[in-house]
Amino acid sequence: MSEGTSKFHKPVMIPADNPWAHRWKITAGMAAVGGALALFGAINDAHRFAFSWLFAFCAVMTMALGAIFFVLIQHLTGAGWSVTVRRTAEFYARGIWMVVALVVPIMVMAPTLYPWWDASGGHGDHGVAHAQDHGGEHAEEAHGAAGHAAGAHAGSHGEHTPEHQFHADILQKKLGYLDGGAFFGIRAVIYMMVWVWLGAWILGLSTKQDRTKDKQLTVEMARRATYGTFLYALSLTFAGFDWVMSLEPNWYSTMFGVRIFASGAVLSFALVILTTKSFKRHGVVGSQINTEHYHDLGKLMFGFLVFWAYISFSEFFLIWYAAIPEETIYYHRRWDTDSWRLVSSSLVLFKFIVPFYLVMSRNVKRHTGGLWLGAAWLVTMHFVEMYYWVMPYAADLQGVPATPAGLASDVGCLMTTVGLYLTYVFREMTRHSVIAVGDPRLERSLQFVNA
Amino acid sequence: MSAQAKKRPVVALAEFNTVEEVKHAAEGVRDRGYKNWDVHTPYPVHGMDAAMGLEDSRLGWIVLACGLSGVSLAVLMIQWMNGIDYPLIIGGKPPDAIPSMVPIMFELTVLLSAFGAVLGMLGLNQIPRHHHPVFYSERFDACSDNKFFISIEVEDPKWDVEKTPRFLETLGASHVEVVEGEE
Repeated sequence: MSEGTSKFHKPVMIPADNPWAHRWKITAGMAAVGGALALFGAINDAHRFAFSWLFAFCAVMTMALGAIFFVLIQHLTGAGWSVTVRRTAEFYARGIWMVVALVVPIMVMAPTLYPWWDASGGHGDHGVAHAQDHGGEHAEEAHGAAGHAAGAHAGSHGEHTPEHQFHADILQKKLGYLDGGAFFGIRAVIYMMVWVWLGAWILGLSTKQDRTKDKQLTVEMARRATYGTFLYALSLTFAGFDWVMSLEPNWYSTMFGVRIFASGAVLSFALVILTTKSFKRHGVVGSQINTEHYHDLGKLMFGFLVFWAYISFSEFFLIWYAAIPEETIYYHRRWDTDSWRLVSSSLVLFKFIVPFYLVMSRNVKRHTGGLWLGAAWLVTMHFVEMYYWVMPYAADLQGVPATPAGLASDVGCLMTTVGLYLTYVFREMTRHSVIAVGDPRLERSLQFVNA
Repeated sequence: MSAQAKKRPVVALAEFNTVEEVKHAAEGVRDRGYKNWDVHTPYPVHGMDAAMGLEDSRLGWIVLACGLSGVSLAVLMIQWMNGIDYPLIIGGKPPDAIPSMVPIMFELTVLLSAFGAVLGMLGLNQIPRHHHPVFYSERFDACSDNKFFISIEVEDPKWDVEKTPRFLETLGASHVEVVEGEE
């Protein structure tokens, strides 16, 4: 308890001979190998590469956004318990700067990714029809199945069925927003400005407090967290509409932004658990982070896992119940082929039911190995969920067997984005104290005990 | 129970002035191997569970059993009512479709878990309980004010009318009494 009783806390730096001082080299290597794989994939199949990149980008974006959420909530609630683990999340939040770089290829490849891209810009009906075709044959099937479920099976699905025309009309109405051009790019710039601003002060003010011990900075961060949370929620939701949800331009769901946020939140708790446990194993930190903090992180991870399951099921349930074709198409794409049905089922079973029972017990949350397993499990399943979000829209995954180049694209892009992101984050970790030693509530966190 | 009932010792009560003293004393009682005893404080004391050597509550297992019963009951109920006994087609869905079962599964899990948690907590704490021998002591009133108490009951296997109070005194109690009550 020597850390707990001393009045002035020294920065906790990663020693130069500690494995954590060199972790970034491993992730940089991972990014290099991944980059080669992705390049191979891109040369062979540029279309598939675009989707692989979007999938990999989503995995990293949710990491950074989840970490931002973690820190914002700590400031909003004035949490004392979390001070010793908050800096870890602040590093991951700062990683949003790498996300800014990684979004550039999406802007470049947008015409490949988004079926509505060509629909606007004065092409009129032709453009809309093209957007409709873009979904490929499977989209047709899905329309048919959806129509059948709603008791409105139209028979043959030619280009000019009433149903088809209806969907074209829906898209036409959305084209004011889904505009393939400057507006799309301007929105991306706005989201990025909000995120960079959040990432900058979340780590910047906190590390400044390490040096100055200025209590006023805690007040300032709490103040920024208030309107920051609103900006965060809006930018995250609209970024989700723009980059992920618009892959299915006919689809309506008001829950999608919340789904992104919920996935990111679960991920952030898992990442903080995994990182701090590794810090402890390698002696970067000692008793400052202990069973009591892991117990609370575990509780939050478990709670947000249930929240994720709750909103994901509610979203599905309402769409299933109403059976409106332009809504059910989202789930038909992910259920009507054997392989995607497997992925969908695996999310229910392995992203909810199994980890739910795994981390439910108080003893598991307080037992280092059990919680580690739960966190690692959820991070892994998070990647599966990102795949489920994006990849059904890659033309070659709509019922056609995957190709080696395609798989190289998926794996390579994931290794590249995650590798680059972690390299940036791990480099930052070597530059600052890994515990927010200037926070006036640090003492409370060090002494914290679960009742 | 008549007014003439013979009084006999029911509980040994030790009074302490500070949290540190009572916590330390609780560790002593724990280490001596007493079983039927308790600590009384005006407010919750962090670390007292460990000082008293309390094991994990069994409440979690009761709640888990109730929750699993709830989810199973929901499945059986819906399958029987909607699938077998009186199938109705609503909105073109199969009468026993799994998604339509989920809200009921969720609700019954929560309901029975809540019952299990509240009633299980009451049961494990043996409440409601209208009286306890410690209330025979007038000094015990200070427990809701500024004093801390340890009580050891006569039912304890290690109880000894001579040694137990003396043991409590050695733990640093400011006052020790053997409370007598009606049988």
